[in-house]
Amino acid sequence: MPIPSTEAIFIKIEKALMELAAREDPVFVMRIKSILLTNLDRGRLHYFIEDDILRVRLYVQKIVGNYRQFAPDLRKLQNDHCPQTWTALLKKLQRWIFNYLVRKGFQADAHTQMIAEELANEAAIQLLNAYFPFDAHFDAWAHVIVINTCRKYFRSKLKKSSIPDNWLVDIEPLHNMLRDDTFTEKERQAELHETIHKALAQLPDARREVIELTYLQGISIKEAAEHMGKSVGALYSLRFYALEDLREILGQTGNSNDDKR
Amino acid sequence: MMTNAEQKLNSQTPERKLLADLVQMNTGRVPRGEDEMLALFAEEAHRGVNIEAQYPTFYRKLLQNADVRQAFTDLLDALEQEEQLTHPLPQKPNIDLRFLRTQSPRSHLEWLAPEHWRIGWQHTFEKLCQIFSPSELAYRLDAVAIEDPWFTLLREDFEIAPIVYSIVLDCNLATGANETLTPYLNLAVTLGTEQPRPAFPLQARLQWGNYDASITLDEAGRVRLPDIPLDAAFDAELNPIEVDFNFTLEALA
Repeated sequence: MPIPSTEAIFIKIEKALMELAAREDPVFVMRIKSILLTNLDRGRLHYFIEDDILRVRLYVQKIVGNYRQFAPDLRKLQNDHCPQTWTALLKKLQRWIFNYLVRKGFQADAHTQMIAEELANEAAIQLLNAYFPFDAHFDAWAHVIVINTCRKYFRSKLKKSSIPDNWLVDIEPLHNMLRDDTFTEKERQAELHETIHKALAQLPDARREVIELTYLQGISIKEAAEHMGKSVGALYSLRFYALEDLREILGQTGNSNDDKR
Repeated sequence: MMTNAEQKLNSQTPERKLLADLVQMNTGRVPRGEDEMLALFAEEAHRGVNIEAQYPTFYRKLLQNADVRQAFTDLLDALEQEEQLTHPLPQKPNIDLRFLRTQSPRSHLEWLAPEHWRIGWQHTFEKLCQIFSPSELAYRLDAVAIEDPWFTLLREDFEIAPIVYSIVLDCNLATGANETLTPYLNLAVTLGTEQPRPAFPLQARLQWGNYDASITLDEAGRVRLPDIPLDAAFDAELNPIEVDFNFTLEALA
C-alpha cells in the first residue's frame, strides 16, 4: 500500500474536523485543528498511520480524547504555573527518577534522592516549556522527558561509550545464511532450522522461551506475557536481550562454519 | 530500509523471520526527528497493542537501534512500575518551585493607538542556554537522538480582553548543505463571550542576533518563518552566543 501524502492526510483531517464541528463549539474545533496541523508538520501523523489513511480518524479521536483529559491540567502547569499542580507533579517526577535510578543500579538512599530532586527540577523545566502533542498520555510523555534527562545525566557523568561491545557482532555470516545459493530451498530450511535451534539451546530458559513463543509459535507479546506470568514490558526486554544473544551466537556459529568450509 | 531479500524472508517461515530480524539488529542510525513518538508507542504497547503488527516501521527501528530499544523498554518499565509498589523515597521530598519564577520570558504590551497593540517578548541569554543547553544542538545534529528534535523558543498565552491568544514559536534542525533552524509560529485564539473579532491581520517579527524576519498572519494557524542560519545565533561549537532575542506580535489594524 502506498504511503499517504501529506495532502491526502490533510483532506482526511479536514473531513474529521467537519464531523467534529457538527457537535462541538468552534473554539474547541479550532484548538484541535491547531494541534493536528502542528503534529502533521512534525511528522507524527505519518508515523501513527503508517500506510493506512483510515487511521487519521482514529488519530483525531485520540487527540480529542486526550485534549479533554489533559488540557485543563496542562494549562495549570504551563500557563498558570499553579504551585499546587506543580508540587504534585514534582513529587511524581522525583519518585519516577528515583525509581529509574534504582533500577539502573543506584542505592535506594538519600544521596540518590538528592540526585533525583536535581534531575526532577531539570525535567520540570523541560515540561514547563515543551510542546505536548496530545497524542499520548501525559504520563507517558512526561516519562520520556524524565528518561531523557536521566540519560543526559549518565552521559555527562559516566562518559560511557556509545557503542557497547556486543553491538560489534559480525553479521556477514547471518547475511550468508539468508542468501546462500549452494543449498536447495529444502536443504536451506533444514540447515536454518538446525542452526537456530542449536543457538536457542544456548540461551537461558526465559530468553529461549520468549523466542520460541513469539517467533516460532507466532503468538503475540501480550499472550506470551500472560503465558510466562510477566509484564508486557518485561517480555519486550527479554525478547530484545534474547535477540541480541542470538545474534552474537549465530555470528560466531557462522564464522566457525565458514572456517570449516 | 529492508532489502528485497529481507522483505521476502519476512513473509516466510518463522525461522527466516527471526533471522531477518537478527540481520536488522543494531544496523541503523535513527534519523533525527523520527523518535519523538516513543511515548505514544510505549503507551500502546503497555495497553497490549501488538507494536510489531500495528507499527512495523517503529518496530524495525527498535530492532535497528539499541538506544531507541533501551529507551522503549525503560519507558515500558516505568509505566508498569506506576501500577506497582515502587521504591519509596527515603526522605520527605524537597519541593523547590523557584524555577517557575525564573522561567517566564519578559513580555511587554504597548498600545500604539486604539485597536493597535503590540506585544513583545525577550529571552535572556540564560534562558536561551537552557533551551539549547550546552552543545545540545551539536548533540542532536550528531547523535542517535531519542530526544524530541523540536526546540520550543516561546510558548505563551496572552489576553487582549476578551480574546486569548496562544502562541507557540518552535523550531527544528534542518540538515543538509546548510544547517539551519526552521522556525514555525503556531497561533490559536480563544474568543470570549462577547465574540469580537480577533485583531487580524497580525504581524509577527523575530529578531535573533543578525536574523530578522517578519510575517503577516491573516488568520489563526501555523506558519513557517524563514530559516535561521545557525551562525546567526550560535558559535562554532553550536552554543548560543550572547545576542538579543526578541519576538513581537502586532495588530496591524
